[in-house]
Amino acid sequence: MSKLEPQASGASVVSKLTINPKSKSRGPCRWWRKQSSSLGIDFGQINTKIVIAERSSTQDVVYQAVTIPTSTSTLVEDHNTGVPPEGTPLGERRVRNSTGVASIAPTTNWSKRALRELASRINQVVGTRENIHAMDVSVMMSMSTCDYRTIYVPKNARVNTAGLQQTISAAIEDKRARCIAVVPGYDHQSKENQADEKQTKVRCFSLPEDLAWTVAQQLDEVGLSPSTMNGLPWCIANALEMVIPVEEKSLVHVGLDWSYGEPTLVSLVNGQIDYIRCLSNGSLRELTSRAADDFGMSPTEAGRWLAHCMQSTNVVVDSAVIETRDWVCEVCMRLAKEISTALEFIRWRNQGVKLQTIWVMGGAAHIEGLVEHLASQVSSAVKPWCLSSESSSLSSEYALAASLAWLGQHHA
Amino acid sequence: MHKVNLLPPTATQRFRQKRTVVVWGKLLPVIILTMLLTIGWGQSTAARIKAQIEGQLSLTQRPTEIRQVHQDLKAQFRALNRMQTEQVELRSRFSPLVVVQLLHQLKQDFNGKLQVTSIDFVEQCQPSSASKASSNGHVTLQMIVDGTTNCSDSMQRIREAGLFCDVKLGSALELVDPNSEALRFTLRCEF
Repeated sequence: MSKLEPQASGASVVSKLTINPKSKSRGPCRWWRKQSSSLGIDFGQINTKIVIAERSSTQDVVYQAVTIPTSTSTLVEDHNTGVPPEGTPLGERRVRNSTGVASIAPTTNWSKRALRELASRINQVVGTRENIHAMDVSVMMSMSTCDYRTIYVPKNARVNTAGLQQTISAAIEDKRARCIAVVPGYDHQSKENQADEKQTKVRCFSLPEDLAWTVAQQLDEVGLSPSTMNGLPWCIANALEMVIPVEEKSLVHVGLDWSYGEPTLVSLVNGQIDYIRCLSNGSLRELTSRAADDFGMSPTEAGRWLAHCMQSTNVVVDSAVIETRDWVCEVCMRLAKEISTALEFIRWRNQGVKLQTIWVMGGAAHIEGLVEHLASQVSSAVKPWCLSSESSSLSSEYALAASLAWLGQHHA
Repeated sequence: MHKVNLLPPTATQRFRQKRTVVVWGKLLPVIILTMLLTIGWGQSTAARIKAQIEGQLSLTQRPTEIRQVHQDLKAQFRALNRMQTEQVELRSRFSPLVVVQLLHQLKQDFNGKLQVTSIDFVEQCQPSSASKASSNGHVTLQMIVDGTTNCSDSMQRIREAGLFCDVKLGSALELVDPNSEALRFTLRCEF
């Protein structure tokens, strides 16, 4: 089996994991399905996570993962401030606040040139494989580029997409056309109450159409035409499905994407998405913002600094470390508070069903000590997402990309 | 499996079309190559089978030729048999004894005034097509008679006998003795 090329394009981490999914039978193995491959690409703001899942002739699924930086100093087009510093996230721009301190503001205007370069680097990483064109490619965009909201629409009427478009545009003050996924709300507790109501709840997940087009087009140009652009909450749900034991399916499981964008919480009950909530506090951006602002570090450097400060073996002698740890405590507390509120709501929605585990995914969960820190402040069990076999494991950082590859395996 | 698809439908359609073009772009040359190979293989096989059939036909031609030769030989044999039968018949019809009987009858009719000095019987054993049309042989008679009248009478009587297809003088009339009227002459009788 050919391997990913970690040296190409600054790819930093490579993992390989073999899972035998014999318990999850997918019917007879046909000869043309012997080597079905799927690729999951999680376009994060700092790093792009790539996972390839390959089903071998023995029905084992081999996951191979690699991370490449989403941005480089030469890629981001910023007309306001010129050339941004190294490690500026793709889709963000440096702005100066009233005090003159540079900070990072999220934007959905991802540069086409930057995406072309990124697609090219992805192709360098996976392009050496023989069956690249036969791969089922699924992608997911960072939550910072997407919008999720619940909207009430007239009951028993066709959903008016133009109306939804207007509602979302007005809410986020972005007049660009959007690709909108509309999913019926799952509200099993109040079904009886809703019978008399004239309106019903739908979940709207949207993305600027030009961004979706650009991403798809750039990937297509390097031979990686995507078949699916999934939404982050649905990826979290799939990632949960991958790790939840069969006997615990009926319980409430919560997935938390804790990465550079807004933390997103998804609860799963009986294999159905019960609740989605975008949290406003506790993102990795917020965790690293103090270091970035105070010490003028780039987001990548700030991330490394955070990992360094959180190391349990680190002897605290430096005031900067102490300051960072205090900041982390503060941010974690705010996040834990929001999580606790959400958990209370989930418990109320699912009375009598045990809330089993909160699975933490994303880059923050990969930083040593952070999950433990959060777990100490939340009443339920908190575990970092991990897909493991006897010899190796796939860390939480790759949860969403792995779920996309897993989804591709079901397409194949 | 949880999924929403935020790809614009036109993009999905375009990628599908592109994939179809790519797939057919690979399949078409393979199909064309396969067809060409099949045609080539078919042609070579047909040529080989044709050559085999021709070989077998040429083998079956030899007995036909032999049969033809056999037929020809049989026809030839039948013709020879027929010819032999005819010869036997002719021989039986033109027996020299018949000529002798005729001459004996003439001699009686001429009251002994006819002498036959020599008889020469010549038969064509293998008559050619030309000679077969004229005669099968001839009898040369040398006779002596009194006077020219008897000479012409005897010649007329032999002709009227019907045994010969042509009777003509084989030599000039010559006197046997200047003191008598006896004339010697030769008749050539073709049969």
